[in-house]
Amino acid sequence: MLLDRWKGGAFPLAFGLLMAVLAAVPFFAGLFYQTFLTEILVWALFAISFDLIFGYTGLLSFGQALFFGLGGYAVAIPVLKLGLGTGAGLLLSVAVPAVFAAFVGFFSVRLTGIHFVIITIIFALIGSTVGETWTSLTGGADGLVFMAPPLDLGVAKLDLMDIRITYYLVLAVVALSFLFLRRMVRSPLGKVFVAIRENEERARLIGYDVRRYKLLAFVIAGGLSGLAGGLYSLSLKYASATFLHWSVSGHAVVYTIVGGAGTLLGPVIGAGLIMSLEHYLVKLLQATDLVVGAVLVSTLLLAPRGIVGFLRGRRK
Amino acid sequence: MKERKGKKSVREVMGTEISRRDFLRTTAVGAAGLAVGSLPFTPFTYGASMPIRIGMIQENTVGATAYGYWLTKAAKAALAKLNADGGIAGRKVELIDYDTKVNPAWASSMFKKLILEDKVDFTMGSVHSGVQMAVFPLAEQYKIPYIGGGAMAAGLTGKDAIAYYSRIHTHARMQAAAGWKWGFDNLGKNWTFLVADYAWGHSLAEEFGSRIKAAGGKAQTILAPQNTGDFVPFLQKVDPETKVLFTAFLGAPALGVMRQTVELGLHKRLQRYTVICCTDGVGQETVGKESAGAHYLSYYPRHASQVPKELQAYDKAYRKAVGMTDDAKDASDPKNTATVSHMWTMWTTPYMIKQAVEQSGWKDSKKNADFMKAFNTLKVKAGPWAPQGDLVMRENDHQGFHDHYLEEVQPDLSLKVIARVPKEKLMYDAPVDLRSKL
Amino acid sequence: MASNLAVAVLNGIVWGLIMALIALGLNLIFGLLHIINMAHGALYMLGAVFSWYVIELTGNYWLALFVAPLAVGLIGLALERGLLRTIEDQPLVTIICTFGIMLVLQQLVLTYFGGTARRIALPIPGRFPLFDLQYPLMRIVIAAISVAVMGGLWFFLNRTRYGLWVRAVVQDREMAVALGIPVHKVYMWTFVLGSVLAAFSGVLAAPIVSVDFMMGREILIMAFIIVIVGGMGNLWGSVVTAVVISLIHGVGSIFVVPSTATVFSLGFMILVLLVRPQGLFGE
Repeated sequence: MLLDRWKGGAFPLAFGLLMAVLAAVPFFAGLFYQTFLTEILVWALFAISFDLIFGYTGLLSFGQALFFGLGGYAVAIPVLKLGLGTGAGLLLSVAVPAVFAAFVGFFSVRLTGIHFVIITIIFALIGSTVGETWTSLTGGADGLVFMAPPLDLGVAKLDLMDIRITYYLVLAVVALSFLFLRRMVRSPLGKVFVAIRENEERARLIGYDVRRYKLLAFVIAGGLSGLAGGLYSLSLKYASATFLHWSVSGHAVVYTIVGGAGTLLGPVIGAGLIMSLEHYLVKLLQATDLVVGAVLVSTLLLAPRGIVGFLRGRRK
Repeated sequence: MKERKGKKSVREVMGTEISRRDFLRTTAVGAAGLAVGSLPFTPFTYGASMPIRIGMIQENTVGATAYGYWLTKAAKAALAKLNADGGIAGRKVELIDYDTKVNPAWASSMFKKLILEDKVDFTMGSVHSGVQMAVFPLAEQYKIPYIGGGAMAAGLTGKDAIAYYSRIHTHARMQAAAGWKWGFDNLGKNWTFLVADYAWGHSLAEEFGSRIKAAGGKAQTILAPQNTGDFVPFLQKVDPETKVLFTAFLGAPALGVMRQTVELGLHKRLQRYTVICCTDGVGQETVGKESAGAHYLSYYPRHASQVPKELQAYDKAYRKAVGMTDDAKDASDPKNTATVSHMWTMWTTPYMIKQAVEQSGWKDSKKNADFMKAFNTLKVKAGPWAPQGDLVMRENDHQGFHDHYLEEVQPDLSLKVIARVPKEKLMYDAPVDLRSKL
Repeated sequence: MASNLAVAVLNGIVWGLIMALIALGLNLIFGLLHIINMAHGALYMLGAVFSWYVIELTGNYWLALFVAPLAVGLIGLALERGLLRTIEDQPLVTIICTFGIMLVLQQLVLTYFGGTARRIALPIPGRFPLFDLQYPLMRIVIAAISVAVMGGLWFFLNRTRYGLWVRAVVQDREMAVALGIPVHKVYMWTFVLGSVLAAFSGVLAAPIVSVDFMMGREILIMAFIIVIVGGMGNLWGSVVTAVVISLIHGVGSIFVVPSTATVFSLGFMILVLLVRPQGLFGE
């Protein structure tokens, strides 16, 4: 069964094949599909970072948009106002949100359940309120437009105005992040996260400093959400305070739930599926969110473990 | 590698298991499908010329529906007329349009779709400054001419201007230049600006306020969140000496602030003044009978009877073409009010595109720069295509100039034009010079 | 200054009482069913939207006040029976599910009601002088209606059989089952009641803020904050917290820019959550 082998030794082959296919896309698909896939990859990254804290550690945060939006601005502001390079911007898009995540997480992980959900939303609300009013820095809801200078890698300069190059860059970054997260969730650290999700009290009794592990997961997720936001604003050449609003977190939630929480592969599939659905629906129906909401509710009621969870379950 | 002996039965494939081969096969098929779907569909027709495609983005859903509805209506009517008159340079004109959802990121995706998938030649539309900002990088990168629909941030033809964007209509700075003096002379010298706390609100308060102050008046600014429901806490802060209350909000809050101003009895001691953007597309009866006595700075008279005499014939034909009555109602639905001051841009723009194509000899995207140069030097005379009157483009900042109006709400809730500000009177120095960029 | 303060206090109380109804509905649903209803703001919005339709047809606001909450109650019934019943015992799942329901409800209203805001005429025009400002009479009436509804709720919970059942199930579910109380029915009717309260708020708020399909989104977060800070399951806590928060925000807005007031009140919420997660009045 493929999805089981995904975990085992056959994974490198399957992953390698998938990468080969994705890498080949620019050779037979038009520019539009390349940009579309780029977007899917970015949101997939946002979704898998959410999966880390929700699917694996059991923390439901509706405030991840804060880190996503910060990541976007961490690229836009230095590039636009300080003349920094794109590479520096990308590094900042991980570092700055991670620092904020450490701060937010430090307070939030003391709470559980609905309290945790609410406090993460409140932090995101503070972020978006500040973002929308501090217009001299952020451009407010109208946002900032910037030209991304070529990414200087030492051995080569990547022109980010070229769609194909941006696609490869995003593909590489997202693939690496995926591998990184996969490695993490299969390591002893990942097992601790799952233990916390399954029964926090028991994990504590065994001797794990639960709060510290939750904070770690939160910071990693925050950094990766920021990276997704940074890639997003790079691909759009635009950042806006609207990226900070808590409802943006909803995207990650929907893609993860529909794809299958706690699987890493699930959120990726969820992102691709829902975004493709919206793309094709938009010619028929303006209110695509209607369908997305309906798909979310249906998934929760009929296949709560999402597509991947459903497929894995079915094999029994 | 998992071995599969023999062919799988249909049941095995569709039923309980999915093998890796199927997974990969599906991925490959999917990818191939995407590829095929993306191949440009170019029928080879020798002799027949290809149509010119105009891509349009509008706010059709979420908060600005009236704008999207009427701007689209005007655009479609304009294209119908253009095609009936022979098209542009003998070629048929097609319109492809998408909703922005008032979401800059979504709009950016749709704009990309227009350029890369639908392969449009020109783009236009949208009344939202954030949306336009978000698509600027795309217009610039692909050198696709983009003519704005009705966004009012001054910076779009100022500090944020790009070479491939033009705006034929007014904006916050022009509105201030057009409307401050009349208000100062006729309504009062002490003003309070109660505006939405973001770029558009700020710029109106700033542009009007600085001119008021320079002339010796007073300007107080009160900022309220864009989605404020209850304005009482803000209205009570209005300076007791204020004589003119200038508000700037969109959507539900615009109705709210106007009504609550009356509810608090403030309309008895001060004059109400605002730009029509707040309630264009909203019937005055929805704003309320208490709005009688309020003043609007507008860019096109709402009622046909108020249109200047020399323009009335053109206005009549225009209203008929776009399906709007003499009182700016939808001919097919009297409950629906037209966004009169904004929608004319989508009627005139296709005509200006035609002019620029013919003047520059544009045949395809290779001449986009020449097109932009031609477009930004156009001088449009009042006529069937310009019922709003003469319109002059300025090359330096790609900004168009046209007349403005002062309208006052009558007791019967109609809008009466009490003053007209000719375009010569609302000039300001070009903040940017784009001429070298094309 | 005196008039500013007077208006701020009066307004704070009026809004506090409107928010109290929403928070009460949310609290009932949470306190009893442990359902975190993210669609609650959408139910508030539906109350306002339905009232608009009733007024369009009949011109009668008082009729709308009666009909709209009932209609939303029916929707609540359908939601609880059809969608939520199977997942009621999984709090995280219900949060996400009700988020999806919120999206669907919002978009349905967008499709049929439209994206532009509409206005409801004040059923009681007229103002009374308050120092050198004037204050709309309708708002006082709205506050009074809210108090009346709260009174009705109190009566229901403390003087009727159903109310007794509700309180019994909250206190000890197993025991209630053992005593023969139809627990599932209680759950269902509580959700309906919560929905009705949210809708009532919507109808009361509609003449003030105008009706539009997004009006529930900001209200939702405020309602959650009130319920949590006031103490989940503590109904009086919600009422007091709603009024206090509204007063603080209203009076604070006199002195600082509103977004600053918002950020500070959000910061205060975080403090309460950390220091006293059971809420100011929770046990």
